[in-house]
Amino acid sequence: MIRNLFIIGITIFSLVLLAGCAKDLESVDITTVDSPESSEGVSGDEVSGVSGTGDAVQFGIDGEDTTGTGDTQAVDPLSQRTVYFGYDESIVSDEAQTIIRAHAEVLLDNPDANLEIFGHADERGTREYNLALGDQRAVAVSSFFQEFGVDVSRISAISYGEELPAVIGSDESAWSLNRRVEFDY
Amino acid sequence: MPNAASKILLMIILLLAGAHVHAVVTIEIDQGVKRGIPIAIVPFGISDDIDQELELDEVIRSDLSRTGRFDVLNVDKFLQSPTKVEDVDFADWKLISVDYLVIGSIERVDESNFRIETRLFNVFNEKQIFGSQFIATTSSDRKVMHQIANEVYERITGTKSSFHTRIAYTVASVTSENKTEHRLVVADYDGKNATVILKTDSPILSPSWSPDSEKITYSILGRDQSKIWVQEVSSGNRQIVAEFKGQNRSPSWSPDGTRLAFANSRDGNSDIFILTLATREIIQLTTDRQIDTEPAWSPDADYIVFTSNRGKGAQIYKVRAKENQQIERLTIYGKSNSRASYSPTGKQLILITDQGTGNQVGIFDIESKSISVVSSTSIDDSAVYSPNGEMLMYVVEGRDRHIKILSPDGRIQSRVETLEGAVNQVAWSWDS
Repeated sequence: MIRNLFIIGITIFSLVLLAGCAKDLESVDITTVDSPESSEGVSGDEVSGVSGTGDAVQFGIDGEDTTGTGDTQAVDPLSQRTVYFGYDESIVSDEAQTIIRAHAEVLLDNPDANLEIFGHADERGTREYNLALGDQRAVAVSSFFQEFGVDVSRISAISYGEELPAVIGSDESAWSLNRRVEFDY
Repeated sequence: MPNAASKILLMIILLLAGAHVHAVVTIEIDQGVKRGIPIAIVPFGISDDIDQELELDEVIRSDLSRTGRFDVLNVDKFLQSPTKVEDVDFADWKLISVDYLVIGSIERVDESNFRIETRLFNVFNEKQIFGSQFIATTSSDRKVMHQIANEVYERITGTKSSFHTRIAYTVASVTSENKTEHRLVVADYDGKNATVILKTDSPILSPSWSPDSEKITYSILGRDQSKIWVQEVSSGNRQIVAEFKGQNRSPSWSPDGTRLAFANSRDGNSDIFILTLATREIIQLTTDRQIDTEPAWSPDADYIVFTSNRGKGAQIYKVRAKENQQIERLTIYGKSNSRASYSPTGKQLILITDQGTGNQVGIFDIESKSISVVSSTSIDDSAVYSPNGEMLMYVVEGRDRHIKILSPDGRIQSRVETLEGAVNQVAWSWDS
């Protein structure tokens, strides 16, 4: 069952791969310069998306492109490029591992693609600690990609700590969406 | 814990006519216990030929209030407002229980210079403690007022103030092109005379002053790598001092000025290192697989304290500033403790503590290992001591990010004026 989903996912992914590359690079650029104060763009979409479906995992940074046709399906792991963490933790959940495994298989079929991993933290805790925590989360996700066969030379990982929140807010609903690792390839 | 009902807002408004009205400074006082030294600062007399706006006695009042060591009497309680020695009636001040009295006057010397005369009296024995004259210009007026406040503070408490020191802070704001601009700002300790010394697209982190207060080190979070810079405040000249493999973060200048402690992740996780600035040689202090970051020096430069999650959650550890030393855990109470730095005496640490009610400013006593929470906010970061240890400063996070000054007991709180944007971190200069 899961395997079938992967194949469907990979097929869909292959069709959008070339178009996706340019878009993805662009959206990462926007992320790096996007204001913590800005309520537009990514964070605004995520907030409304979450209240609509109640499923946080569906709204990664590129989520809006790929979830459009998948509303009736549970979760297509390939539609997710964000995984979430517990407070002050860098343990990769089973759900996150499923997502990572799906993308790892795509990467194995596309040996020219390189993987970028971005670690993030919520605003609680100090900035420097959160940068180090973002590192730890990025490294944890990187380890699973390697575990699933992606060569370490294809992976780069960086932490943005609490500097680039996905959602602006000072409550658990915002914090839980900000404790995350995003990846892109 | 101070609650809203037990607080009053003391609005101190300078009672001067027309052109001499100044900005209102708001200082919040938790009224639980009043234990400051009662002092009155009478509005300075101003000669008729002065029509410039000058910063006067309000600066002194704010300086003395912020330390928590003085209860600065509200001017509307005064029975008289003398500006000359011969007008002082000590009986009027004894009646309202004032221990010390400051009076002053200002007159024009020439086109751009003013003479400020001030006197401090002991009300109890009716004696003058000091009298001084200063020459000020419209641009140096605040500086002179800080000097007078320092003189009053030193004569009464026997300790030097921090009113003449400066702070550095980082602030992020959105430009008209909808990009985030990060700025490093240097200002007087009360936020006035702010100057932007660096603007960049990338976050600036962990500013730390050199002991001569002429340079600042910081880390810039790059797209691929964080690097550590040293910048001269006056000239703006800057250079990279650490771009070792991995991330280079959280620099902290040693008290002797020759070294930086910093965090580097060349082995895949953040460890503590010391960089000797002259030789660019580094030594490694920690080697475990967990997070070690936020190093800070003891005043004698013998020890480094740092944050680590080698136990469960973040806690503060201590190590000698040499290779291959034993690591000692310091904090034992609280869900987490991070970003510690030493008090000038070396006996306490100021840190960010989570005692189950959010991230708050705490004072950790090294001897007893107890922690007292001193802030009444709950998403706090970047807490530091003033150079004389008699004020605290930290960043309040959340919707309205700003910098606060606290008295060490948390009783007196005041907001520091900052440039527009979201304030991220703050560092206090040394006493030089």
